[in-house]
Amino acid sequence: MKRLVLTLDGALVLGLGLYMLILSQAESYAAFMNPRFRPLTAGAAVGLCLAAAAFILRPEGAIDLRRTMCFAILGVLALHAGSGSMKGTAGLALKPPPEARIEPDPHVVRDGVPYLKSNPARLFLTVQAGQAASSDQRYITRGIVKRSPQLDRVGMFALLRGNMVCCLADAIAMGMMIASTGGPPPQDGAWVLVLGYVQPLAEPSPITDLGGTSEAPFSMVYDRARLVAESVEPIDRPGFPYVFELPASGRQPLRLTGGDDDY
Amino acid sequence: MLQDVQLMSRIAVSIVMEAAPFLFLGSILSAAVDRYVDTERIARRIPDGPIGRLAVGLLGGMAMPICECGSVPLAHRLLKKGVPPLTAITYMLAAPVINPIVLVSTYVAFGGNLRMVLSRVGVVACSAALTGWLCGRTYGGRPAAPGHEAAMPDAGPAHHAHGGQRASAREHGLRSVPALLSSGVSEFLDMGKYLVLGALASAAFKVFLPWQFVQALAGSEFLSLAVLMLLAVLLCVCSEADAFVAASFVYVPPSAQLGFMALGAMVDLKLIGMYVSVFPRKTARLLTVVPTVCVFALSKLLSGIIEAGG
Repeated sequence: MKRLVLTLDGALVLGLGLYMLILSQAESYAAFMNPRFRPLTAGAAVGLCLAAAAFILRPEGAIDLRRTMCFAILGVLALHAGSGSMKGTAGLALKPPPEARIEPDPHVVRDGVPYLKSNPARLFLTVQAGQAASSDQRYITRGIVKRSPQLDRVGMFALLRGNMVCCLADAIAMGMMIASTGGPPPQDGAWVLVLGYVQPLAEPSPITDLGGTSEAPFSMVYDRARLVAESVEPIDRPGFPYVFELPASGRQPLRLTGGDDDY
Repeated sequence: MLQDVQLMSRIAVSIVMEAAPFLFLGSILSAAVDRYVDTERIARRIPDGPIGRLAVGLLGGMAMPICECGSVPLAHRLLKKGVPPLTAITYMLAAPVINPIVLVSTYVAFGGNLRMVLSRVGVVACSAALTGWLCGRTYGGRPAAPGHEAAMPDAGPAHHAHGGQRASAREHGLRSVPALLSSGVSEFLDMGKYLVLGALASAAFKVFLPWQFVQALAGSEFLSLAVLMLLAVLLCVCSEADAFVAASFVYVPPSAQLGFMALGAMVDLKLIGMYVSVFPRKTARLLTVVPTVCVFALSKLLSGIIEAGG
């Protein structure tokens, strides 16, 4: 009995190692962890597999059914978690990771006007760091719409993207308040493309009733500026809803980090 | 609802995936210390005086950086090997923050605000030192006699799991690697149990907590520090990433951001489970309560200095 339970423990650790190894090579990894940690996950997965094999061959210690149960629950969770929010990908299918794509042109030209691509989270961090250009700089950005009573009262809505630093647990939907010029504000939960410029606010305007989105249960909009929209266009939800933005460490502005979805 | 449950599963799995490499590293290091490091040698290398012991504990993370999940099994093993609690407990609490990686990440996250970095180091160092000192009093501060493991009260079945290791410790070189890995997995399983439970609880809180209520509370000057410290315990964010999360909380005062970063590395749901598992109940209580009180008081005390720097 003891040998059987310990072998099962080892098999569960082996399963965790294999799961981490496969996920580290799959596109859906980015729905769980920031892709920059792929090598760390893959390395740990190989170590876990080797160690688990050693444990199965030569089990050590006393049995503890609670820990066996916990790791079994983890297995169920991993199966239930699936491939996250990856649209158009088949779960753990091995595909080139998004960060391997060629860096695109940072501008989109509309009617002769160049718009700088920036996802809402990057815009948040850029404005927060005081790096936002003057109001003659136009931005093009995509995100999920979040409405709240507080924003409705001032005729604005929030445009957000789930931003992951390390893993999904630290993901926060970050973005900007959008002041729409003309037309009703878009529906809560809709994905839109916004073209506009940043306008500082005279007084900080914290929005404390946002709640979360389907990608991240916690939201935050920058409270000292807003994006004045010249155009708001409905779009399909992008294939990959998360972004991986870190604040710039020095005086250099943030730059594009990913592929076509990266704004 | 189904979408929320799936998001909860993904968050729980992501926490485990994030922490597993460090927990595995800590477990293997713990097993290696148990097998290859003899008690006498450790006792010789630890300074006699309390200041020296404290300094080794506080600065150990600079030489051996490890995040909070890995530091618990390692510190537990060091204690059993006779390292004084003032050193081992202080190292366990301080190393996840006072290490080069976390110092740089805090500096970057706060846009080069050195006061915030120094405040974080100061708060964690003071809290870790006080907790280490109090835990030392719990153990009576007695190091192990040469050749024997420290007389440390056991707290659960995890402590009886390595009884066979002494016999096999005579193996040397490559032949001892499988046994080392097997011991590491045994330790990983014991600690991993609490990692899984903590991740599950944290994910449930994150998905089902009414965040509007939390955001509204965080808007109050008085409550923001307490609310962010509570979030640090509930969210289980890794110490290497928490500075970026704290910097995103733009509505709260810097003292609350400091409290979030300082406490999360020492006390969170998964760590509380691990403390209860490997330490006597009284020590586990000290490890939870003392850092919480210290971080609250010191963050409030330092608020003027940080705000001047922000």
